[in-house]
Amino acid sequence: MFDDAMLVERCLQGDTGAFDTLAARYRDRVFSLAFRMLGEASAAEDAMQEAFLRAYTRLPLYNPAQPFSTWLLCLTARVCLNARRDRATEQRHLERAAKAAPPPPTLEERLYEREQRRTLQRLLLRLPAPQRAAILLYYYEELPVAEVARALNAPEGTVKTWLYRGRESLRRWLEEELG
Amino acid sequence: MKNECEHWEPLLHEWLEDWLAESEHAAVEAHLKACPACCAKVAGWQAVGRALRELPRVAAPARRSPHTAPEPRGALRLALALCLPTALLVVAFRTSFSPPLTPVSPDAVAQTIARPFTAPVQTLWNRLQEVISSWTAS
Repeated sequence: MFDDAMLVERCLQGDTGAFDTLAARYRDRVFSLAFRMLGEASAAEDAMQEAFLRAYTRLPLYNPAQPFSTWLLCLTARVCLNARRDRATEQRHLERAAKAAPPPPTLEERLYEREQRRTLQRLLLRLPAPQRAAILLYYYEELPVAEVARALNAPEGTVKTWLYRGRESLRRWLEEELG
Repeated sequence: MKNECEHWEPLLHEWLEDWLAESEHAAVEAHLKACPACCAKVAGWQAVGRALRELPRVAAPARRSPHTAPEPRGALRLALALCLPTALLVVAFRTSFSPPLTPVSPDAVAQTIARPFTAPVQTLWNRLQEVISSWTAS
């Protein structure tokens, strides 16, 4: 099985099948990040397609010194942030996400942990987009602060502030909701 | 939490993330030992961080190739799917509305075509009608 660097190399030599392999390897991870950032499956799917398309066209710019996964996830975060900049779309997505009636809870979903996760996903959408992006890249994708800063085109100090404020907001809201 | 603790908050967060220098660690830990409210806040942040890390991955929907155009085979199938019903419709239309294919004498056709329009209001439709009737008459 080829590692990411070899697949990128093959892709740059014209083997499009190599990119398909890379996309298959990361599609769930990219979709998850987009879904956590955008809160809606259809928007996340669009962002995933856009992220892979952008990765494919910008592959010659990829620096092999950086892990491919980091590069791809940072690119995905930027795609999601750009999608968010379309204010009308953002408002529509948020309203749809808020209106979407949750499916009737199954026995399994009654478990406290599941409920907490659903609440957390909902609360994530209340954070300002840059804070949400920083929180997800740092905690969910476990990227270092320097990478998050590069992805979001912000100084490391700003990213640290976003992380602090975002986590504090989530803590406060969770405490209010879950008691 | 006391008001004075607000100054500690960002430092507590940096302490939790291990972003502080050694000397600063000691000062924050000394404050934590003396402040149950700050301890509770730090515990809350830890819980949030853990919950974020443990958020499950979401499976992406069925696969769409992100960069390739539809393959020729697929395009060919689409063209065939559109052409076949169209061809059937044309055949059905001709069978229903065309005049019967009876032999037409060349003289009758030439005579009809050579005949000038008798009036300016005569339309193309009338001319066609004449041709058709000449077919059926012969």
